Amino acid sequence: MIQKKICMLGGFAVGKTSLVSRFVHSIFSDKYLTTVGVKIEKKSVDLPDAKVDLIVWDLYGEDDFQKVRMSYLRGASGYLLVADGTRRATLETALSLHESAQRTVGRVPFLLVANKADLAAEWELDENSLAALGERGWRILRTSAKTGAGVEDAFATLARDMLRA
Amino acid sequence: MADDLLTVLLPAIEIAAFERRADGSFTSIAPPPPWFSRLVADETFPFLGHILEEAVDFWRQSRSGMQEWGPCAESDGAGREFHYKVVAVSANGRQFLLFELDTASDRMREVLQAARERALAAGSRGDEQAGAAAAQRDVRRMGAEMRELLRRLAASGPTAEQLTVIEALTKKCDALLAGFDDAVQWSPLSEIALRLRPPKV
Repeated sequence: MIQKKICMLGGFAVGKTSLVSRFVHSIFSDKYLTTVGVKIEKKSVDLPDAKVDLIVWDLYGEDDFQKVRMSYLRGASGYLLVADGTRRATLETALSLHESAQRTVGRVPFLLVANKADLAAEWELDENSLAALGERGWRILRTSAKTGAGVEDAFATLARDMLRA
Repeated sequence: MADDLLTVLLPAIEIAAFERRADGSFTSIAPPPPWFSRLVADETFPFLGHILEEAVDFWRQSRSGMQEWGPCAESDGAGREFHYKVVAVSANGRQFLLFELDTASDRMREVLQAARERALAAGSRGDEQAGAAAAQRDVRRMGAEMRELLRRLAASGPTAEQLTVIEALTKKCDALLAGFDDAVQWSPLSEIALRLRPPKV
């Protein structure tokens, strides 16, 4: 059995824990519950050529109160950068965390996830910024932890990229 | 006697304690407190991941001292989240791994929850403020266009009665713009946003 550690990185209230809950337990709650520290979950992903046990480290969100300690990333084979599509500033936080993560674990596979895709009317993320990141080779997916759209795909894509790395 | 004391004391203070043997396995030195059963089915602690690797490095390098990791979050049977810390201890050549219930992080979470909810609400108020400013710009632009149309109408040779209507409309337009500026400047933002929102049909 192949086992891979991945980390969830992003600003506060972008939906990291909700994505993990949707992915691991198939549940979603509208109530925002902030994360302190790290919560470790596990789920197997069946890929066409392998089965991968993902050990998901759901890290607390970064803001003025708490900076993410990059030591949590040690041993990670990849990470999901999560931004809240309805809060433009969370993309900046994700980009900053990406730079810190690269300094810690090097160039491991990652995915930028624009979450809360169900809130299309409140969408703030600039398509040009996302397109520019896409041109730099970033994989970007829209997800909704609420509806489940794109969630399985995001984790499976990261798992495939980690196996190829 | 000391061991008897530990078997009573450690669970009472919500600490699960293990000694690491030379072969790398762990043995419990006191009955673990009930909360610990949520974490493990065995005593190899695979969920710890790199924490255990770092603890092993610490034990290799240190004859005495301790190193701490966490807080880590877990849910109890009722779905309530609790926090714990992991502590590696090296003492007199012996190696220990402790899991300590971290109620301080539970309290920290309550504080952060309130602070972040306020930050989210403030962000939403910021959006309303930006919306109000944009609406104000739109209204000023439309007001200027209306005044220009009225000016052209007044210059096109209207009748005395039409001119009276044009002058009245111009005054109304100015009053409307001034009233809108006052409303944006003085009213609470949420009230402004409410006023700007089109009525539900």
